[in-house]
Amino acid sequence: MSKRQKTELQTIKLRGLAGALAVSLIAGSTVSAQAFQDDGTIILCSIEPLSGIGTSFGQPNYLGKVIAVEEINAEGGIEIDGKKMKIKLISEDDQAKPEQGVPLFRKCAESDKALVITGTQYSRVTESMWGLLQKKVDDPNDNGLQVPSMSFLSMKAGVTGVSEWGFRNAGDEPAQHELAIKLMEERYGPFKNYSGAVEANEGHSVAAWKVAYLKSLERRNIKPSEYVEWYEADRDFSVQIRKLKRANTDFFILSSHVQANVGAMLEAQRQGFKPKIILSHIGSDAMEMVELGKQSTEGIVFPTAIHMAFPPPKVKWLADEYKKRTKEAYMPQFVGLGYEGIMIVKQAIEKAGIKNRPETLAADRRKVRDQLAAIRDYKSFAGMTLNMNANRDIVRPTYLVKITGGDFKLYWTPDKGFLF
Amino acid sequence: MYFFAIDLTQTTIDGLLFGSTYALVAIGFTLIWGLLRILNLAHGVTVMVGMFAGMLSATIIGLPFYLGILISMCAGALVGFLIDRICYRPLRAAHELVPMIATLGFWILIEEVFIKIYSKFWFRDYVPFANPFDGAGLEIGQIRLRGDYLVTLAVATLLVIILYFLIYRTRLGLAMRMIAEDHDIGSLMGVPVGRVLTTAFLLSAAYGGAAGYLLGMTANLAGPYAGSQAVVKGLFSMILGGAGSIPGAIVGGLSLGVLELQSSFLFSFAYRDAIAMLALFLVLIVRPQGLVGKRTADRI
Repeated sequence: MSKRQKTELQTIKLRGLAGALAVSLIAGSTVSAQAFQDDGTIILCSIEPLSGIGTSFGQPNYLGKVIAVEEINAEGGIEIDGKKMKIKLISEDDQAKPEQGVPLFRKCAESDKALVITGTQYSRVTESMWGLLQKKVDDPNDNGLQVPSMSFLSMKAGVTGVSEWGFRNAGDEPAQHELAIKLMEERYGPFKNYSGAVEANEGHSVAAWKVAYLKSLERRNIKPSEYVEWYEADRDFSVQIRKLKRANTDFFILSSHVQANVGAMLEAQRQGFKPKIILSHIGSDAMEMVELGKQSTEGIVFPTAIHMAFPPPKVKWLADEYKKRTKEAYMPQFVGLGYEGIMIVKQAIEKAGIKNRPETLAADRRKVRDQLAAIRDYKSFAGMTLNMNANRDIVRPTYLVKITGGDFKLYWTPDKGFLF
Repeated sequence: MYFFAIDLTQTTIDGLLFGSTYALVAIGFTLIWGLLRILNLAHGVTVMVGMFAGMLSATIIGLPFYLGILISMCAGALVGFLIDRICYRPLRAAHELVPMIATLGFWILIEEVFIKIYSKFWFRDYVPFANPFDGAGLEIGQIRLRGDYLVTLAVATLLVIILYFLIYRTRLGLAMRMIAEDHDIGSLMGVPVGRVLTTAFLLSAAYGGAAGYLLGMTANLAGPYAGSQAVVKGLFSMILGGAGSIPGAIVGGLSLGVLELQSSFLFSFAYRDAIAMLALFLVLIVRPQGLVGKRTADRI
């Protein structure tokens, strides 16, 4: 190789390296958190899975938050001590990994000095992050972090029990599934064989099975005819589906998330496994279910907290905003929960009477925390009235969605019953 | 009992068919191990890149299956070239652990960057991978052979035959076998060691690319973590069959496929991987060289 060729090669290598570095820096960039509240902003942190296995849930949730923050800021911001202050939303990506979420949570609390930390989606990450928090408010022996944090999902039962600084706006999953099973039985029952499939390496799915579905079955003196497990990243579901089919399952409980759901349902289609009812959870609320699963996912029913077909015009506006930004025709519930969550936090901040100064941060956080705990009769943009219960879970009505005609159709509402 | 026998047979066949993709991944590992005695931990990247190249060609552009496989192999080979130039060639003189760690670094770096780029383009965890053979199949009595699994096995078999031809019927293969015995002697005999090793990286990675295509196609989806999963399965298959042995990689891959599905069927889904690991331990205790590896240093 000549000297010139070597120099050219080195230049190419350097350019390649610089390019790769630039790509990673751009891709990994988040809003800088150098400024504190005293520059006229209120700092909120958002920790969500924006890449990796939780993208389907984290990205829509984060976008819901962004839309809410932009709307609040466009109106001048939040009124603090007689002065309007804009929100600065610092975004972090936990990739649905506890080991990534925990240091990000600490960063948000200590370096970014966020007033409130919102997030995250996966219960296993939320539990780990909230493990940093003081368990009981005012416990002098517990020097855990004292910053209010609100997750807009983390469905696993009992997540808020980790700390009194933790709040959740997602719905009561055991109640959701009890209602869903009851409604399905009333409309399509009786069923002979109830079987379940659980994503065994995913905390929420396991908890949903044990705390929600199984308890509902036990209340009916029903023992599952078949129970199978798979993992998030499995690629072959032939054995599990065959077992479910052999058990003559007519009520199939699918406690699993989108990737495994798609693979399993495609295999069900291949094997001709067609139960009368397939009941799933929020893990099925992702466009991949219909894009990747196509016909195989038709008929799956799952509970939802917010649906784009709700009557209030603001819901349609949010769905349009979401579509404008993502080109997605369907708005999963996570967008609405993210949007609504920021609005709830906004109200809590406004009512808290904070000063938003560096020296008042600890007191401000406490005031906001107490306001979140005291939420009563909050009027949601989605038309419902919300209350915070003693477990720091927002109590909200349940709706059902059914995958029909390649779309996520609102299927049952508390006021109108079955819609089709 | 009748259904049990049917399901047992069906599960064995599914496992063998499914395991052929593991065998392809293991072949990529074993080629480099046999020649260089390093674990190319970046091999998973070739699977991931092959999968996405295949997804782009099959789903986005709509190219036929055989062209998609070729494109995936080329994309994988390109990654193999980079691995050789970045992780191996500059570190040839270093201890053999050094290039192995370099491949680990390469794997993590590329996967992280890829995930970030992926997230900018797709608002999804996974993207659809067109599977023209989905729904097709062969019925033999009560046993059903999935069409896409049969195609996978056919492609894997063809690639293994080509590899055997290359290794045992060409000058390149002769050179590879000589280098596998001893680099220095090979060099003294006039073998262009560097060039042959680069070819081995290209070949190994091309097989990884093909495995990526087939894994994506049979799952009907492509995801950015496919490489990490493939590394675990491929390494396991290689060790189970016999490190450095191509027949070992094939036997290891097929055995792993059967082992995974049968342990789910016969014992427990929850302990599937634990049972597979236990089987590996037992095999290694009885035959430390793997199922078909030779006790003596049999390199390729």
